Amino acid sequence: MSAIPHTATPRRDTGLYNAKVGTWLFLAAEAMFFGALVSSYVFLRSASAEWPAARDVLPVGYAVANGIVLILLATASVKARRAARAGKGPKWLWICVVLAVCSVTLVALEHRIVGATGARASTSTFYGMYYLLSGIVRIHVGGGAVVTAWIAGPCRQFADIKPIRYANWVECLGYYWLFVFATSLATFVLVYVV
Amino acid sequence: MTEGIRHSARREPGWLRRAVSCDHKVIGIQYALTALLMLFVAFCMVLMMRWQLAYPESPFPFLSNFFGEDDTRMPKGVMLPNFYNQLGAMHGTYMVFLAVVPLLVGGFGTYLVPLMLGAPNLAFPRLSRVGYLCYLAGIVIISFSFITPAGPSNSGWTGYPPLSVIETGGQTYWLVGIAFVYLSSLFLAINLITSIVQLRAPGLSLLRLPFFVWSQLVTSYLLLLAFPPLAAAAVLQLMDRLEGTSFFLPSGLVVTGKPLDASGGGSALLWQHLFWFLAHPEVYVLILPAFGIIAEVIANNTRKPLWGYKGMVVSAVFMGFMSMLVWAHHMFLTGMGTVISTFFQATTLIISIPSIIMATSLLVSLWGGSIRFTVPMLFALAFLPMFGIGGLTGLPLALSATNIVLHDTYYVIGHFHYVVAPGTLFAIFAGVYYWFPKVTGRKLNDTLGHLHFWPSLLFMNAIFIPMLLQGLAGVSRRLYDGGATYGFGQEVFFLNKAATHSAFALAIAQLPFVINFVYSLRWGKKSADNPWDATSLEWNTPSPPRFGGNFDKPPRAHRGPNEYSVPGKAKDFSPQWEPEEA
Repeated sequence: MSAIPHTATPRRDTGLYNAKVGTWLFLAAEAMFFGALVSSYVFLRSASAEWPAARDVLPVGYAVANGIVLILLATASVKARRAARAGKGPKWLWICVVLAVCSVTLVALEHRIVGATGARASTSTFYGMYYLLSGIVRIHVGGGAVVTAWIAGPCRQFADIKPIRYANWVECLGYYWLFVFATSLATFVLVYVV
Repeated sequence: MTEGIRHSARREPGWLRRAVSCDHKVIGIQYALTALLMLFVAFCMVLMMRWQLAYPESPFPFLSNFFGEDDTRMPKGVMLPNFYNQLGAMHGTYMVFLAVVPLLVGGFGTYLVPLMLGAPNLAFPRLSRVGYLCYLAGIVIISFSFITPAGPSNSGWTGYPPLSVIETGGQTYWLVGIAFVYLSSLFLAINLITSIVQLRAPGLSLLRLPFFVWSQLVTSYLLLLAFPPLAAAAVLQLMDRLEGTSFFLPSGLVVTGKPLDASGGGSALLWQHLFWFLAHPEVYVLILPAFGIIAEVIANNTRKPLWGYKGMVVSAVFMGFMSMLVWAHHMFLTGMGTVISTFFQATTLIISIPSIIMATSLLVSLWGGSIRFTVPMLFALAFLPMFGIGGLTGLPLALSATNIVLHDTYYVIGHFHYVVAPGTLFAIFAGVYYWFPKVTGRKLNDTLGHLHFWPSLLFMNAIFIPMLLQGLAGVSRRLYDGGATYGFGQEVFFLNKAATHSAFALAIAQLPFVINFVYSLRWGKKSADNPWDATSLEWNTPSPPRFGGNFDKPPRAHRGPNEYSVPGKAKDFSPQWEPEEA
């Protein structure tokens, strides 16, 4: 069985290792996915006769709190990358997991409050879009939490066996969290501010 | 940095271990065989549809005894309109999403790209395996809808709302299945692009890549960037179907005389935009790898370098970029404004330029060549005029004035099928005949290959020329009975029979290929490692390449991909892996 080149060390002419290229490509596809959802939001909103102001009908406080949590999460992911490169323990990764769980919980609470007013996804395209966009972000945060916990826990042994590859994984995870933060920020601005 | 090769001292693995391995060759073969099966299934569906069009409400031959009088799809073998719609939707879905794209990218791409790069495997072997499993899951889910009481989706392969939202058939299965196919495409695209960027052998610069690899690179970018909007659209439509949202349902919709119980406020056009943002680039996903295959076959069989290789590369990249700016030419009938339609007319005409450059380069490559009329070359030569007809008949559809007249007619079916049936499928056959010796270590039989090629060329045209004629006569492409009950177009109704008989003849013409394929796997003439005297790196491996590793030692590329008939050389081919003579 032949070894695949550049799984750990960068290729000389591109300056990249494989996982970094793969992660960027994955995030490019994710950007197109979110771009399509955002375009759909803009399309439906511009074609709609009436579109409520989100500030009036949605609990903005939860969304702001969630935004702050995601800022902290993005920061923690950067710290985690530095710690991994320095060969330190997975403390920051676990902090990422905790913050991600907080974010998911906040969105769940927000949905519960909105749901208590009788607003369902089927009530109008506004609510449909609200539930969909926030739900998709929530799925991404939840999925990221699972992967982060997996890297911080069961995969931790690789930090000793293959330290460079392990640090690469953590770096790629950091790109993901930054992307999720940017996406949720864009969603927040789109739904609540614009 | 190449870390060298570790030779395994263990025994050769058994078939089960190979079957579930992450070796790109195993996965490529699995993709190819599965996709060929899907191609066969989709072809059978269209044979049933063609029978219905030629002989409306007549029992399908051989099947009338299998269906009772109370059957909800084909009572006593006579096809009902809803089942016709379901077959139409599934034919397009199977062909595009489950057969041709997985065959070209999953089969040819996964198998050949690492070999052409001089790499031991794809960059992410496990992802490759997961991608294949997602593809299988997509097939299972979409196919499962056939055995549900309501049957499969009946809203076309385009899944247009509002019908797709309110219909009770298997549209939900379709949406979930497409989501799995999307994941498969995503993983494929990530794997191929990363491999091409990262795993090229020393000396294999970008402009030394075979054109096939370039075609796979651009195709992968299209899959990567164009498929996500359809995935988003599928999520929106699933919400409409399962959660009662109205993203694609306008206000005031009345169904069978009753107001629809939905909040409304959505737009059916939104789906069309999202769908065609994928589906038009998907056309180039279907044709670019075909060009890649044809380029390799033509260069090898003319014993000449490709004429205009760099121009072809630039054209492929430009085509990939432009393909994302033409989607709304499928929507001229939706009443878009003249400014927007003018923009999309212009982009659609512009995108014909790179297509013409590539086709012309291949044509000019024949000039002065010492042509070997092998079976793969015959398919490659046939590809050029067939693609030419497909491309040229598309030009009237690029203009909104003529598009509006032709859009709902058989002309569109004829045009599109000329591109993908005698176009892409001929390229696939060319590729199968060309690389079969590398994959299996045995050659396909030439006589059977000729028996396959010539009738196929004849009957492909006999199927699709009538469609163009019917379309020009104004026959609608959405009629379950082929137009039998309409006074309109009666003078060309007989062409339905001609096309149908040709379709069945085409099916018979595939028998030599099936026999050849199966026979040659075991009893075919044994092939040398480089039976075609070819130059790209995949021919520097044993035939078939060894499981778990491709090359005896890491190869180095010393020259471009198609250096044939170099003056002063003893041989008429200079392989990439051979060092320059001192």
